Amino acid sequence: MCAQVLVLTLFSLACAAHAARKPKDEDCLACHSDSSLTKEADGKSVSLYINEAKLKKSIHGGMFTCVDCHKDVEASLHETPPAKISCGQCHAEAEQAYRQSYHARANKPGGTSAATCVDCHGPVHEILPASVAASPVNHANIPATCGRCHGQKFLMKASGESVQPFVSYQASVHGRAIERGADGAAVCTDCHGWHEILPANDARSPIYKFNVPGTCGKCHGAVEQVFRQSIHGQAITRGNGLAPVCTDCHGIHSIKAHLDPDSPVSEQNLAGATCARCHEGVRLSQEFGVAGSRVSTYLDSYHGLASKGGSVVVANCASCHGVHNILPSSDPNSTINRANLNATCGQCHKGVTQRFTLNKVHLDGNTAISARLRCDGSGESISH
Amino acid sequence: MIFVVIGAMFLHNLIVWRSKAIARHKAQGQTVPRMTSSQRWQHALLFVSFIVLVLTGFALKYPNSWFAEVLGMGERLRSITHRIAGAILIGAGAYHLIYIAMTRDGRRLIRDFAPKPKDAFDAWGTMRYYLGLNRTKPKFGRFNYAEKAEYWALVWGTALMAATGIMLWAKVFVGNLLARWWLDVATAVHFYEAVLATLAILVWHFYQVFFDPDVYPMNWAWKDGSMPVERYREEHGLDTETLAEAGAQAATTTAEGFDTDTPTKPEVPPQE
Repeated sequence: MCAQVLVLTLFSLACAAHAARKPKDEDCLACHSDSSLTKEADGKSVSLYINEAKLKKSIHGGMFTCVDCHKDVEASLHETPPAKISCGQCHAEAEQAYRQSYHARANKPGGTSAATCVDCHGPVHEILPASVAASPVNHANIPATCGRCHGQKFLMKASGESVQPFVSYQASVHGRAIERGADGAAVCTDCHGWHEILPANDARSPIYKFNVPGTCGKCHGAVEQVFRQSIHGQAITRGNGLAPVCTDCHGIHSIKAHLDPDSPVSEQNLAGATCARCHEGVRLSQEFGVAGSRVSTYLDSYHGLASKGGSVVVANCASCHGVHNILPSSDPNSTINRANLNATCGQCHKGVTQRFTLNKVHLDGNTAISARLRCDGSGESISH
Repeated sequence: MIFVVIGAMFLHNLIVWRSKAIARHKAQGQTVPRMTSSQRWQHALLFVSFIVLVLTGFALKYPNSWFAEVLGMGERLRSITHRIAGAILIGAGAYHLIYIAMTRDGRRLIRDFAPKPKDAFDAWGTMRYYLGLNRTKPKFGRFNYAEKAEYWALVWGTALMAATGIMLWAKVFVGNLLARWWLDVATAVHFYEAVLATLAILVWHFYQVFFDPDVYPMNWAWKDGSMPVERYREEHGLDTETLAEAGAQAATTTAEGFDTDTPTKPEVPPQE
């Protein structure tokens, strides 16, 4: 029994002695906590300083000792610098995703400089988990982190880019909510992804046109469901690139609440600035037979004139056609289907009957009278 | 800069013009009654409501125009104002119907306004006279052909605007009763008649009462209810009834020792 204990003890000591040959963190920090410690590399002075407090708080510092990663450091006095460690050695999946990204592509040698791991996650020895409030990749800090490059006018200009997306985002309903501390609001990565940020013309990108409803739907799921049923959603499902997705009406980075007069979907802007982009010209009528001049005919009507006069209670496009649920009049679920017109017009004009509602709207001013005198008014076709 | 300079010019001329206009007004000799007090009140209601209707109506049709900007009403206030003015005009029109049916002055008015074949010849003759093709100018009764045309255009226009205006006001009732395209027709009629009426007032009426060199700067009858007897004799020589009354009155006042050259109402100096 005594012999057994002795052997075990000796074995333990031997192991300890073997381990002791590897430097401990204290040994490393004996030198590396000196903030003036530098080395020469390519004629440049590179700091070798490690902030111990930050290292200990970092996700890696809490899990590993120095030599767990810097495996090639055998003794505290090492002549050769340890080999460079790439993040991908452990984070292969993240690195693989990053390699696909716009950042990685832009970062090719000889090209412009774009974000790498440490640009977003912080200095190697100070990386915090994303769940920690101080982390630059914590949800609430994402806009500020991306803004370190995307909000720098000269930096972005040098790469032929603009800071406007970032500036617009800051003023958007999302950006303001984040600033107020509402963590639920969308930040850059919620729409763009993170490691694998892809340009909008890449079908895998969450901001690829046909993926936008799904991307917005991650938060606005109920709206997405309604939109998918609408004529716009149906056309998107069929792959019609002329149909609008969320961002075509609401803006992209600049999205504002619909009650904000600056929003493209506000009462003031909806008809003239937003629906008109597609429903005024001949594009849709030439390609798909969807009637044009929907906005000019509206603006000539009492509704349109009063809205130009500043009324925000008068009917605009959405009052009759709906918002996300827009459908052609032929669809029984459409707000302008003949079966639903009494209810739709009746929102404002209480007590209207079909004799009132079943008449052409969107009349061309010049032909208004003649058109009216030609039809007998008894349930003529409703132009939509 | 432009505002100050032109503003000063305008103010300067306004002061001069006002003084001269008053002086010319005071210099009028003997006058004859042209409009009774009731008629002047009817005219006042008409023109105030008419101007308000024109401004608030065209402000709807041309929301980006300068006068819509100047008016600066929200749609709610604009629409309420337009309806109030419309109700006043319709009320004045209704009163006028009662007036011409029930009062002596009213019946005389409508008798004098009644169009006659002579009016057509008068218009022709007047044109010939002013083109230098005729030596004599036609003589007119209490109302000449231009004034008669004005009156009946007003009657027709008011009736049409009132009818279409009421239709649009009661849009749900009318739309349910007749079909909504009637409202679209009413809208178009209301607009084009408004353009016609406004231009008629500017071109026809304002010439007769303001810009005609014979009456410039203004025919004061709308305010004083009277006009100079000299001018009346010249323009309405066939209205012997009025001229006889005026002559009788002049005789009376002369007999009482009044100077016939002073205005009939010198104790009330006309104000701007």
